[in-house]
Amino acid sequence: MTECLLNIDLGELPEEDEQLYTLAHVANIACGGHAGDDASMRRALEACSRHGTRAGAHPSYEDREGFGRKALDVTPEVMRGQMAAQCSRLARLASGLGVPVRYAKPHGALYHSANASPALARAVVDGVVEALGRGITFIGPGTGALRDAAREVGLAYAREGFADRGTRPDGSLIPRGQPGAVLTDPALARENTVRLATGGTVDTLCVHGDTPGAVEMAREVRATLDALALPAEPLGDGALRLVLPEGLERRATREALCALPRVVDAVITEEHACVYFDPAAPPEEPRLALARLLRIPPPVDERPPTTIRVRYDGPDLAGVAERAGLPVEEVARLHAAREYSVRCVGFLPGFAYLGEVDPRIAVPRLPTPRTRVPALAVGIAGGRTGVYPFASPGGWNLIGTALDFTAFTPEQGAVLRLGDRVRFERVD
Amino acid sequence: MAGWLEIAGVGGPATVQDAGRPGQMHHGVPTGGPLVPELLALANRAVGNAWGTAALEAFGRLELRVRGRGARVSVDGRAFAVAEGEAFTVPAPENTSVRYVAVDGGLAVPEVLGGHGTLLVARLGGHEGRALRPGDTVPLGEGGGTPEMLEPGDALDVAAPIRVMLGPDAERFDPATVSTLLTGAFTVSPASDRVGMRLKGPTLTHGDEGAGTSRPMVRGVMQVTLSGEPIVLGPDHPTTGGYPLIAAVIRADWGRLCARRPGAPVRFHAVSLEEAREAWRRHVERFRSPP
Repeated sequence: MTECLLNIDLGELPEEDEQLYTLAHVANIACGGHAGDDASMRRALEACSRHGTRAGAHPSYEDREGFGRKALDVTPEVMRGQMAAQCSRLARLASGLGVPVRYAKPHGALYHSANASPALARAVVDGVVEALGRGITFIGPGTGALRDAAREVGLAYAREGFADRGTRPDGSLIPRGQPGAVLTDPALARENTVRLATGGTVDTLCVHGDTPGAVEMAREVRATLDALALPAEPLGDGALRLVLPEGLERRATREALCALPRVVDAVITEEHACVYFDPAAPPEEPRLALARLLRIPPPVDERPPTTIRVRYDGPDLAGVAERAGLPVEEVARLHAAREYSVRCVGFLPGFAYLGEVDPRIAVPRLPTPRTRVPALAVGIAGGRTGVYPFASPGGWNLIGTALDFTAFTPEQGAVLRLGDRVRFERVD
Repeated sequence: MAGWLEIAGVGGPATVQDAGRPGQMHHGVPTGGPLVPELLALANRAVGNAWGTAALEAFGRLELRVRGRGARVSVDGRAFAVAEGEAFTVPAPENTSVRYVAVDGGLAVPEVLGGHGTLLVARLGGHEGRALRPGDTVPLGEGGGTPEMLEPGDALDVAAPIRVMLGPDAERFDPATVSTLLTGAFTVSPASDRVGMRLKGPTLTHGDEGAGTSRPMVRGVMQVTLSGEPIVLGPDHPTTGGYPLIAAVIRADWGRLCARRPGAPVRFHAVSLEEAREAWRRHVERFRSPP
């Protein structure tokens, strides 16, 4: 599935919130038809440049008083000239600022009337191409005259859906002015976003920048789209492996996923989150839970650090020292010198992957794993260290032995939890 | 009156196993459960137990005796009555990897982390967290359920292909290797146990040294070691690992694969997620619907 982009109509109001540019993938910039002048266009283009937002032209019926909201009687020939003029004005300013204009979308009433009239649609498309060339992507309704016209001319076309508009049961938009036409509840916009972005009939979603609460709405939609863009791979028929986005607190993420209906278990590893379920009852889109966490980071209950006493007497200590080019003493000192946090729990019951190991002693795992590592052996593998809770096969470099440490109990399970802090104390 | 099962002799590894302990993977505890769920269901239902009641899972011969009461005993669904104090022998499995001995009322070992099964690596669950030895006594629960004879049908057909879903790391193997997996003739390696089943056959080469970091695992996934040997993770698998995963055996076929003895042939057939779910629904209907 290609990523569904968020486009926002911008450059329309004097006091628009610049955050909208950070949330939009594409900014449709008003270019003088219904709103906007050279100053506002320049501001919008500069904001695009600052935030890496893709710029698009947003031409309209020439009706600043009515904000382009009502259809006017304009012949195709005149329309083509108006489109070309509006888009050229934006393109000139954009080229001066070094910002490419890569999208175009007709505004308001023109969007609808052009889509119902092949001649008008063709005039709009031709005018846009005259000013911006054939390299742009045209944004418009999923079906109708605009799409047909764009296709005739060979333009890339992005089918648009409206995240902040209410729909009738048949999928058509509730007309403006009627109850439920414009959504203000972010939860409804989120549902809309999931339905539209995963339904396969739209390539881009629009949020209007001129409504109260636009920023909150846009943030909700963008977070949802970002979550839906995360890779999710089935691990057989009863598990789904998700790529863990940056910046999520690991324990809160696990708990949020585990709390979802029909999720039986959730595991966090270095780069993934995995949810487990009955194949006959898969959960609904678990990536949305990640989107919520990205938006509202939950509070973290931090526990005091756990101290594990270690005797540095492992069979690989000398090998690690040699590989690191350090005295044995120094390997032990560096290992015990810092505080680690639990990155994942897994492999064996109660085995906690701790990071980050000092890069000077972060040696790769053994080429051939041992068939038996004794319980309580302390190992290093790359940037991770950990204590084997039970005797088992294992490929980590063994540098020491933990004293009086219990990693796992049948009553409470793993003693160390995701995010817990751990220190090693050297004992001779 | 409750009784107990006395272990008089063991000819191979035997442990207490039940339906498993789902939901503990985040402690590093795999779900466990029976190597061959269909046979556990057959054994239990034949003495009136729920399909996943704790029973003996044996790789070899067992000599047993019931004390304290008479009992209905079933071996893989063949039920018989045993008088109080009577000794009986369960021969080693011949056509399957393991055999299940269920007693009416089940084996009343303590529940640990939501299950009764034995996890040897952590010395957890079952009877003292270990394999059974002569002289052990295992308490019995209260029987009284209605026996029902289940038919395995083709669930354990040794000639049937094993259904897999390709991925999630299929892109780390070239298409020729994926095709080798789906066309090659494999056999079960003797170096197989509840942790994983190793397969002998064509080498599944890949240039992947394994992710330096650990990734989530689940029973049924097929990891491929650097030497190109596929290993299908079993019920007591490590919960995380680093080798790339070429495919996953669908849940409905876990028993079909794990029932095969060392040397038995294995072929794989790719199915979609929808086919896997449909197969699982039929499996549940057949073996797990409540009595």
